[in-house]
Formats: sequence, C-alpha cells, structure tokens
Amino acid sequence: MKRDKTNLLRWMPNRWVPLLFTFFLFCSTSLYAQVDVKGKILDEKGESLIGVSVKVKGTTFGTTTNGNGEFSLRTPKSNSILEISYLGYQTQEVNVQGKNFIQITLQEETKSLDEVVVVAYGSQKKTSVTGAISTVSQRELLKAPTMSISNLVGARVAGVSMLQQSGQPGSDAASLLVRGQGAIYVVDGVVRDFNEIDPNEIESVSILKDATSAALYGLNASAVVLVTTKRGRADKLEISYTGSYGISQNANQLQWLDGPGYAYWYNKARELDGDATVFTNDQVQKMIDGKDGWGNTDWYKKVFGMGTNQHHNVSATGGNEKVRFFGSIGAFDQKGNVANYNYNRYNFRSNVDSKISKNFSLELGVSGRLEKRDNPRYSANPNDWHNIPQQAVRALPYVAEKMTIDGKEYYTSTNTASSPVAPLAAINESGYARSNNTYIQTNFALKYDAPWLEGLSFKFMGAYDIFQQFSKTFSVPFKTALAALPNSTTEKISYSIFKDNSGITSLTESAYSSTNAVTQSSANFDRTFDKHKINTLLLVETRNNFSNRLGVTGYGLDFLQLDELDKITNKTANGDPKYPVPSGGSSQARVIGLVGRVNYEYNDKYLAEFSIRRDGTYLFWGNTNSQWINLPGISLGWRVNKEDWFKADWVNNFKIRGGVGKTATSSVTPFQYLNLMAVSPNSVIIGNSSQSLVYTKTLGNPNLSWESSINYNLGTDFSAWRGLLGIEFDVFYKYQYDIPAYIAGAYPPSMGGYFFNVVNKNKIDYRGFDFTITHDNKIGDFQYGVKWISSFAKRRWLYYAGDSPNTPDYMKLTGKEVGSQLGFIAEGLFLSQEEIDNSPTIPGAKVLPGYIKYQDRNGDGKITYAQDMGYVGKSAYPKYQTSLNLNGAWKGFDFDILLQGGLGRTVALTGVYTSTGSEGIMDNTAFTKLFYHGGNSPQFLAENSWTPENTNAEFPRLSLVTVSSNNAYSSTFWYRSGDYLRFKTFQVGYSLPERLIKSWGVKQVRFYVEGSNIFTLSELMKYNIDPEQPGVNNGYYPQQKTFSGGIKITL
Amino acid sequence: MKNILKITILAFILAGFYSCNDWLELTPTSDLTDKAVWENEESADLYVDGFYTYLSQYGQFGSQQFQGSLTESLTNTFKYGSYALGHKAGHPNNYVFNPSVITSASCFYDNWNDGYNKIRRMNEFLKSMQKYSTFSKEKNTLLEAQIRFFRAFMYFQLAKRHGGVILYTDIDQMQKDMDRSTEKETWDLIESDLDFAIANLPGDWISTADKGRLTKLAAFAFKSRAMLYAQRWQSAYNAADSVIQSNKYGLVDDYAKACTGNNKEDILQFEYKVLGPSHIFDKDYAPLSDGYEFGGLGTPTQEMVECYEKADGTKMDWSPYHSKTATRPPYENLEPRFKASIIYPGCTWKGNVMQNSVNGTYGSFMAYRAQPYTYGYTTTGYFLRKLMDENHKDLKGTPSTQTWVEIRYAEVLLNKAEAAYRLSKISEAQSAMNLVRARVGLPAKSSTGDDWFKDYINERKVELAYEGQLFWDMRRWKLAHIEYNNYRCHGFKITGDNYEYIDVDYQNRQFLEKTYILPIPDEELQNNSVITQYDEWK
Repeated sequence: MKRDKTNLLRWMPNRWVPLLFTFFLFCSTSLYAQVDVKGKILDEKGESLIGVSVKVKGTTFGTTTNGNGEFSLRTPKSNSILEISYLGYQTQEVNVQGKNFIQITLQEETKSLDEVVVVAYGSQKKTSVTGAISTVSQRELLKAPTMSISNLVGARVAGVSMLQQSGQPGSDAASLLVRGQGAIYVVDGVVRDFNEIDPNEIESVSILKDATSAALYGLNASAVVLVTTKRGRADKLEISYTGSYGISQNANQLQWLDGPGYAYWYNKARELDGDATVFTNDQVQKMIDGKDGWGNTDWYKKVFGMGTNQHHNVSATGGNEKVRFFGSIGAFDQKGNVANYNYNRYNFRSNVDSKISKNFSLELGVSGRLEKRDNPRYSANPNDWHNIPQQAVRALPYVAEKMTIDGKEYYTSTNTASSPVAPLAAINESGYARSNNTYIQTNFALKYDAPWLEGLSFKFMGAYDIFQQFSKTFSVPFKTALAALPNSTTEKISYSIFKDNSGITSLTESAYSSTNAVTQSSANFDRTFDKHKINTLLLVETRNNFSNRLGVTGYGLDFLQLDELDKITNKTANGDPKYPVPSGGSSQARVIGLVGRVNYEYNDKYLAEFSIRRDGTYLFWGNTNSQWINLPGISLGWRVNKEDWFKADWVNNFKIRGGVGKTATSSVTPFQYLNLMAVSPNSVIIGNSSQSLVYTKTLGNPNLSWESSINYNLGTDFSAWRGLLGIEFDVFYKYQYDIPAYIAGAYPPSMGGYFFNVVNKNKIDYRGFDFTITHDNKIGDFQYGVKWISSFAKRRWLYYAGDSPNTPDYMKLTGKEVGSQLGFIAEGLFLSQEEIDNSPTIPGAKVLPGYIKYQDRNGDGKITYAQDMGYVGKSAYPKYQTSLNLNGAWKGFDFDILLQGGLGRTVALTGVYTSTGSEGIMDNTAFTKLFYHGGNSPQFLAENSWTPENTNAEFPRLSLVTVSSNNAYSSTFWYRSGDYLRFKTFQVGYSLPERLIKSWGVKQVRFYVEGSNIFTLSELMKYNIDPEQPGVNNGYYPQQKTFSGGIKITL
Repeated sequence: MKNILKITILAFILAGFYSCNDWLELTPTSDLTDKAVWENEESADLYVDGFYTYLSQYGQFGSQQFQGSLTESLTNTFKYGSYALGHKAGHPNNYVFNPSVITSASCFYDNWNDGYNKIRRMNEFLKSMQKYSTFSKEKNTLLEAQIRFFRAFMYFQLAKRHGGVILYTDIDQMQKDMDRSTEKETWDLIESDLDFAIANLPGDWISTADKGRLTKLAAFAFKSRAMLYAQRWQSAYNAADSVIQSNKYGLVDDYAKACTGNNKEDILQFEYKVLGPSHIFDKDYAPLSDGYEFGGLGTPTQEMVECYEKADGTKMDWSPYHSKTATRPPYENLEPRFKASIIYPGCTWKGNVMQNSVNGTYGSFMAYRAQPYTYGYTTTGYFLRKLMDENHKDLKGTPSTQTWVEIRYAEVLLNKAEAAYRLSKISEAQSAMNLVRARVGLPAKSSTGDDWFKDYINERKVELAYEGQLFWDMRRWKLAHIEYNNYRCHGFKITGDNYEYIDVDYQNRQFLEKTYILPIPDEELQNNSVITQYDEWK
C-alpha cells in the first residue's frame, strides 16, 4: 500500500473498495463466542454516572447505565471491545476478554483544552495561546459548501466582519475585515488566496487577530487567516464521497415598472414638467395586446431566472507510522441564474508525510485548481458600462421581446442616453469573455530532529506556486431590432436593425502568468525542563514573485465559428483596415523576513511569548531608513484555574491573556522613490508619423515608509460545567500611524496636482471587542450546541492629511469613522415655492417643490459642495456584526442554522463610484432618479415620488427634467440604515443507521439539504433592495439565495 | 555528519542574511526613469512632442475648453438638443439658462486645475533639462523655445478666463501659499515667453521628421491673438504684420478648405490618424442619417444663419420667415461661407439631399425636450458642417481624423485688422478685413469708426464660425453681457413644405457680467492662504 502512495489518486476508487471489503469481512468472521459482561461507570470523584452509553465497538449492540451507574450487556465475541462514552468525558475502550465485571472511571473531557491551534509557523496547544486567535472548525466549514469560504469565515468568526456585494458565479466572495482591517491569507504556510479551495480539503482555519499572533508574517499581516489543509492520519483509513446539487435565484427580486406602468408614470412626469404627454390610451392597450410592435416585457425577470450548482468531492486519507497521505479531488460547477454566466472548478490536493529515518521527515504537498469562468462578453461588474444587470434595468418595458424584420427574428433593443440596450441579446448573442485559471501550488518541507540535542530541530520549507491565466474575449457584432422612441402620434413602433459594437468583430486573447517562490529555513528548540517549558523559533523567509502578461486584440473574422487569432482579417465592418493591438508587461516583487520567537511556560500556569520579525521589501529599497522594519510583540497569559487557591471545580478553564505588538502594512505602489515617466503610444503626430507621448508620471519620493500600528489586546478564555458554558472575550485597541496619505487635496491645484502626492501621515485607531459564547449539551439522545458570536470594531481617523485647515470641522475626516460617506444633510423636500424662495439653494441649480432641501451648514445663504458637505454617512461595513449558530443531532438527524446580522452601517442609494479613475464621483442611480439615463425605473420610486397630490412623499418630485442636478448629490436623503439580519444558512442532515449500512461495507451515509440567504430582514426590504448592494448600483449581480441537497458516503 | 549538517544549515542562514540587501534591489520593468529620457536627443524630442497635444486638448476636437462641449453653445450660435444633464448635452443649456451655476465650487469652462498641471509639467521639463541634458546649447534652446511657447499657450488659457493668475516659471518656486500676480504681469509673462519662442524657433524645420513643429511664424501668429486679449494693440499689430510680411501664407481659394489644414492658410495645426491620435467629432455632431444613433448633440441656430450676408454682400430680410407658416428661405442666396459651415435643408451632405424635417429620412427634426437626448435629431433645423469630415463614412467603426487648425492665415488678417482699428489705422484695418471678404467674393466694407467695428464683429463671427473663438471674443470685447441676456435662440420646425419659426429654448438665456472673470476655485482658496478671491466673487 505504502509503495503506491504517489499513484494514489489514479488507482484509488477501483482498488480500495475490494480491499476494504475484504478487511471488513475478515473482522466480522473471526470469533463467535458470546460473553455476558456487567459493569459500573464512575467519575473521577468515585460517583456513579447515569445514562452512560456502553457499546460494543463496531456493532450496534449497546446499552446505557442505570440509576446506579451499572450496566449489563451480552457481547457477540469473547474479545469484544466496549466503547464507553459520555458527554463531557473522554471516551474509553475496554477489552472484555476474560472479564465479567468491569469498573471504569471516566476521565473528564479536556479535549477542548487539549485542542491544538495553528499559529504562525507552527502550532500550539490552545491552553498555551496568549494571543487572540479564533478558529473555524471542520464541522462548520462543511455547512455551506456552495458558497465561497470567505462568506463562511465572515459569518462564523468573532472579530471578522464581512460584506458580500455580488452573487456572480466565481466572483461571489465576501470581502472581510478582521478588526476593521483587511487580512492576508496564508494557506499551508504561504501567502495564497483561499476563496476557491474545496472546503473538503481544509483541516482548520485559524484567524490571527492581534499583533502578537499575526505580526510574524511581516508585510501586510495586521491580521492573518491561516488555512491548513488536511493531512493523512495513520489510524484512519477511509474514502469519502460528497456530492450535492442545488438551485439559486436572486435573494431579492426587484420590481420594475411594466409597460402600462411606465406609460402612466412617464406621462405624469411630463405633465408635471409642463410638457405634453407621450403615451395614449390606445398605445397602452396595444402594449397589453402586444400589437404593432408594442409589448409589455419584464426584462428583469427574463434576465434573472434560476441557476444551478453541483459539487462533487472524493477524498481519501490513511497511512501508517512511516507514510501518511491525504488526497482529494473535487469538482464544482455553477450555472448562474443569468444565462451563460458559468463557473466551474476542479480542485485536487495531495499531501504526503513520510518519516524517512529516525531524524528526518518529509512533507510534500501538491495542489492544483482549474477554474473556468465563462460569461457573455458584457460583464456583470457594476463599474462596467452597459453591464448586463444595468441593461436589464435600462431596457424599456413597452416593447416586444422580439421582432421580425425582413423575415428574420431579432431581440429588440431600446435607446438610452448613449447607446441601445438589449439585455437578452447581450446575454445570448454578444460573444463571450472566458478565462481559465490554473493554479499549481507545491510545498516541500524537510525536517531534521537533531539527535545531539533533545528538542532541537531544523526545517526547510520551500513553496513554488504557479498561476496561469488564459483569457479570451470574443465580441460578436450581434444585430437587434432597435425600437424608435414613440411619440403621441405613434401608431406602430418602428424598428430598425442596430449592429452592436459598431459592427466590428474583435477577438482578444491574453495570458498572464505569475510564479511565487517562498523559502522558509528555521531552527526550533522545544523542551521542557521540570516546570519550565521553552519553545524557540528562528526563521528566515524569502518571498519572490514574478509575473508576465501578454495579449493581443485582433479585428474582423470571416467565420464566427473560427474564433482564432490566425483567422483575423484586420478589417472593420466596412472594410477599412484595423490592425491588432498587442499588450504586455512584467513585474517582480521581493520580500525578506527574519523571525524570532520564544515561548515560555511555567508550571502550565504562567505563559509568555516574545517575538520579532525584521522585514525588508523591495518597495522601499530606494527610500532612506525604511528598507527594513522591526516588528516586535510580547504577550502574557495566566491560567487562573491552575492556581492552588482556585477552588471552583466547575470551572474547567479560566485564562487571562494580553499582549502588545507592532504590525506593518504597505499600500504604496512600487518604485515610488524614482522619478518615473509614462509612455503612451500613438498620441501625437510629428513628421507625419504617430509618436509616443512621454510625460512625467511620478515625482520620486524619498520619504515613503511603512504604515505601522501598535496593537493591544486583552482577553480571556473561560469554560465551565464541561461545555455548558464557554466564553472567549477580547478587547483590543490599535493605533495605526504613518498611513500613506494622498495629500493632493491638501495642496492648492496651482501646485500642479501631483506634487508629492503621498506622505506617511495619516493616523487611524481601531477599538472594539469580540466574543464567542458557546453552550453544548446533551439531553437524552438530543445533542445540541449554541454559538453566539459578536464583533464590534470602530475605526476612526485620528489624523487625515486630506483635511485642509481652512475647511469646517464637519468636512474634515479627522475624528470621523473610517469609510464615512460624504454628503449634504437633507432637510426633507421643499413643499412650496415660497419655502424655496426663503431657503438657501445650490446656485444655478433649478429647484422646484418636491426637490430635496439641504442644510446650509456654514450659513452663507447658499448650498455649495465645498462648504456644506460633510461626512454624515456611516461606512458600508457593519460596525457591529453578530451571528447565532444553532446545531444539534438526534439519533441520525442533525441540523445547523446560522443567523447573521450587521448593525451600524449605511447604504447609500445614490452613492459614490469606486472604480479607478472615477473614485468619489457622485451620481444618480436607477434608485434615485426616475427614468435614469433614459431607462426604466423601479416601481417603488415612481409610486412614492413627490407629486402635488402626494406631498408627503418618500422620494423627490416626479420629473423627467434633469436640468437641475439638485437631487443627484450624495445626501442623508438617500442614506438608509443598512442594518440587517439574515437567515444566512441552514443544513439538515440524516445519517442512515449503522446497522443498515454495515452490511454494505459502508461506514457512513448521510443525506442533507441546505440553503443560504433564505431571508433577510432590513429596512430596505420594503423595496426588495439587498442591504449589501454596492455603493453605486447601476446594475450588479445580486446576492443569491440557494437551496441544495447532497449526500456523503464514507467507506 | 552532524557537523556537516550544522555547518550547512548555519551557512545557509548566514548567506540569507548577507545577500538580503542586494536581493531586494529591483529595477522597474514597465516605466522609464526621468534620467533615461535625456540620454539621447530622440527621446528628449518625444518628451517635448508630448506638449503638442495641448493644441488638441484645447481645440474644438478636444475637451479642455468646456469639458468637451463647444463654447459656441454659450453664445447665440449653437444649441445642444438634450436637456438631460451632461457634457455635450444638458450642461451647456443649463449654463445659459442659469449662469449662476458658475461658482467657485464648479465651472465647466474653467481650466485652473488642468492649466497648472500642464504648467508644472513644462517647468519640470526645463528643470530636468538643466539637470540631465548633455546636448548642445542650440539643441537645448530649441527645446526650451517650444516649451516656452506652450507655457505661454497655457497661461493664455488661464489669463483669458481669470485675468491675473499665479505665475510659476521654475519648478523650485512652487509653494503652497502663493499670491496671484496682476493681469499685467500675467500678460507680460505670456508676451516674454512668446518673444523667446519667436527669437529661437526656426523659420522652417529642415528635416521632414520635424514637420508639424512650431515655427517662428506660428509663434508670431499666436502672439497676435494673445495680444488682442491683452489689449496690447501694437504688439498684436506687429506680430500679425510679421506673419503677413513674411509672404509665407495666404488664403486658400475655397473657404470650405480653409479649416482642413495642410495648405497655405494653415499656420499651426494638430494632425490625427486612425491609429492614433484620433477624435470623435463626427460622431458627436452627425445627423442620424450618417449612420450613428447618438449624434446631433448640438446644432447651429437660426441666429447664426442670419449673420451670413447674401452673396452680393447685402443682408437678407428674414422677417417673412419669422412665422408659423413660412416657406423655405432662399438659402442658395447666402454667401459661400454659409454653405460651407451649415447643413441646411436642401443642401447635399454625403450624397443625400438633406431634409432636416419632421420624420425626414435625411436629417430629421425633434423638438427640444421631446426626448431627454437628441439621438441624431436636430432641434433647430440645421446640422453643423464646418469641421465635419464629409468623407468619413464609417462613423461607428473608425475614429475621426480631420486636422485641427489652431491658427490660420485668415485669423491673422482679422487680428491685424482689429489691432489696426484700435491703433486708428482704419485703412489698414479695412484692407486686412476686406482680403478675407474677397476670398468668398463679398464686396469690400468701407465703413469706419464704430460701424466698421460692428462689421468686423460680424465678419470675425462668420469667418471663424465654430472654431472656438466667438465666446472668448465676446468676453474680451465685453459685449457678452449686452448681447447675451434675455434672449432665446430659434430654429425651423419643417413639416413637409411648411417652415415653422420656433423658439428652441423655451426660456431666456442669460449671461452674468461677473463671469468675465472666473472665480478662483475653492480648492485653491482652501489650501493657499495668501491668495484672495477676485473682487467680483467675494
């Protein structure tokens, strides 16, 4: 068996089963003699235990102890093994051979105390941990496998808050903040992304929340999510199959105006504007009848239907003293609820550990992932122009879905402000944007236990990761039937052929590859001298990353079936030449870290840890005095319940721990210490030929440095009554300084706008607490658990360099929450012309009754952006996040429910753009401006708009005229509380009784159904708006509600 | 064995420590350093060539004058058809209906930020030349002359908006708190930069590789324009006269070709190519029948049409056409510049006879505010022809490449005429302007005094129509607040044979006198403690 370890994956399914089968057969036929056994079960204090389960191992024969703690049982064999288990106590096994009365003393369960936690570059007993570390158990990891893991970690760990802003297959990860800051992800010791790992491959997830635990990873490790994959176990040989199939749909389905509704509100808006109406009753009748090119099409509903997902995984583990292995293959396939949005993924992982000799051991890990994203050429990214959700929102409802022109049927399209939209054609006919990602990640570690000194070991770990991305985008100039915009005399809507993408076929292929090479060389000394336990670590780490990209776009194709670059014709639609556009580039990054750590433990009672990392990075190579940084940390712990004077026996663990440390991050772009020039080809013609434009890009800034923070943490771990109560509670304070500040705003524009844009000046502090309260119990056969976690993190600007001394306080970020939103304070809607005349307004912006009234904060009698805006909205990330997990098992049934809530956040219906180049620009959205951009409107907006009849309205004046931008500004008028409570996930399972499946040679068969995003409570639900919608919603892929069913079989 | 292993491990760790420093030193693979640019003359030329794009950015095909909208929309000659806010859409309309929208917080035709960004780049060029250049003195001077021209060009853009502004001529002068200079000092700098350029630029570049670069005469021509704004009449006169006396330039016979570049009328131009640089002017203003669904953003007004004289130099009587039920005016009687500048009903455009009417196949009409956007329709009954490329057929697939002519000879003649008039050289003024009229067969004007100046205003408006001059001319003449208040623009709604004279604005247009000087932006005031706002805006 062991010789074949490297070929494990290949032969696993077909050769394992008969082998195992033979094994079971052998066991069950060995001996037949039956024996009667009696016994008594006591606890450590000698008192009898009632209701203890006594079972013959490997069978279903069993009983429980009576009121005196006694049992009697007939075993099938004379050498049967009894398995005695009781909640809160360690399970014991006893061989009955030669015994007819057995007295057993059960040891109290200290399993949770013996639990080992993965920490930076190693592992530690949980009881010895002095930092703030939370873990996600394997059990929890498998409770919602159809979602990306970030969603799971985000909802199940105290101290982490999450925001999921997209439901697009392959892009539905949540972004996480750990105690208010972004984290780095470390998989098996190396910084790697973790979202797309198959949950079945993961052994544990540890979240290092404070500096003393995280800082050892150096650059950017203000918090670390440590993922450890499964490794083989010598005592357990098994193969499991897990499979599930499910469906998904929008968690919240928005309601848009239908044809007649559009006509009604559009007319009404024009009437109010003093313009003639457009739609007549006859036309509306024709919409309903679907005559003369009119129609009543619910584009949104046609775009967002139902999606499916399926997931399969086979994993095997086993081994012996010398060699252990774990192998896993998984396949995941997601078909989005918008047609042609597909994602699939294959994961494999193979971890082999081998003890080569007495002193050498070797770990090998190879894992890979193939990901394929297949989308229509039009994206679902809210920052992209005419993304498909945006088209679904903009398409006008009063046209037919399809029209026939000259005998050929086309999807219809309708005009917007700039170009026509045709959501269904864009989904089905626009071509594709595909990307294939290949990840190969390898770990190699050789460990040497020095025989000359007990406790000393050396380890070398090397990791070499390759990432390859191949993308192909094919733009097909599909044709649609473009509806001419009707007027009041239009009998029949006329349609003309519209060619998308100017009629040009284009094909883009691009490749990106990056390699990441990491080495870690370390020496470790771990030894106990009497009551003193010492563990020291010295480590050198190098990280070296290269990447290259290359791509080309070609134009014109004779045959759309031959979508290959060597078939391009270099022509536009009307035969003009158009030549391919190549692109390419490369980059490199290097980091070195030197790590030292000492752990000291006295008598299992007093704990101390001192650590330091000295980190160097290429980012600051040219900067004086900041190439290297030292990140020290110290933490102490006191296990109070181990003190002699501590008499409360019901307390199983009571530890107080605290620490202080320094972490460093950097968001500077490379080579900022050099004066750099930008080059832009074909930008000016001199001497009859197109020439490159060369211009100054950055001014070398010799003063840049790391952003650092000093982190304080104080916490306690407490457990009592053997699991009936468990508390982990931490308070923290972080002071972050030297944050790069973009100070262009603090310079007058006459300085030219790019004069030393960045200085290390900003300061933020973070304060908060997080706790986990658990309760595990068993009542009869019913075993259950409750876990309540809460996180509170408040981020505040202590100093913000962008604040100009001359701006009023309300415009300054200093003192405000990080992520605050800038806007006016709205005072409702103007009700009369008289009120308008007597109120300050925005100069030049026309104001009518029903427009938003703003507070003149500086009292100068007019409303101006520069003077009256302030930071008035909260961040989109919840300040307070909590979740409640209930799980339980009864006989073969089990369940797990997760409720999650976020409080203290603001959702802006009209928000601020986030994409590069247009950051900070405020805009209307379909939720704030009727018929925005010439498109459709949500029902709630039209129906609740201000009209002379409805003056107590929630939304501004029903109007088409947009000559005034008065209502477009970010203001409290558009802020809504983003507080929410989600029924995040549930899973209900049933395992077939062992006696039934034993005969099949199967260890476990479990069926389950599960779901996610089942329902949400939030103020925004009255409009069916998801509380986690992105800041500027001009169309995005909504969060998904999923239901699936699955099976797990273990051999 | 033990020792070997120990030593190996120690050596490994130590080697790691020692090699760290070198190992972290990387060189950028995707950017140039500033020093590298000065290693040879070719790359320094590329660096200086970048500044030529300012001509494009501040021209009619660029977007720096008024965020892409034509400044003519701030006069009575052009109408954007959209009421939905946006550049080349509702913003220009908003600016003429509610000019109080112009504040220190925002003004779309201000260029304070862009101007100083560019000035900084040019000062940076001069500094790095000092620092790194190993070229001959002559080469350095040639580079500096080009930079100084563009610096004057940018200060001119600032001065025509603000008057006196902050002056930086050296990167090391830059500081957060800096007061603005007087208007006189500002024009002094512009004049001295231009004089440096004039003194050091070649009359002609010898190598064809330098074709398109600035020449001495281009600097003179630009100076003649700038000095009119500065009201330095003698300087303007001399500069214009230097160009004229050189006899290097002349008027092309066909007015329709006067703005297309690459001819004897063209003094300074910026060229485009499909491969780049290119622009999208045709797409923006083409009628729907040209094959693009989102053109016709703005169209000429009836007010502009009525500025054109008849071919015989007399004025047409338009009063019969100012009615609901008129017939087609005899457009054919108007002078050639009308036909070359405006697509009118009945003319031929891209091979089709244009209708510009309700439901017209070639050119169709849609009333202002009937839809939020124009969608290639006209709201005035006309489309723009000047600066449009009639040979550009594939609007959607191919970008526009017509040349932008920054200065042409006709303008220099007019500049001279205006300067001469101010210097009381009326006969020189008359003859310079009459040269421009003669080209299109119009009889000479012999008026004098204020009458001549009125004629001149109309002549300049017509000759330089839609070339980005009118709005700024009206400001410097201080006529905008007189001419551009409480009026509406008009057009024709053509249905079949009926020409209905219509109001295309539905409300009065306004001009605020105080906008002759644009306010200093709030960002400047907030971060520069010594500058003070102009009195008009306090």
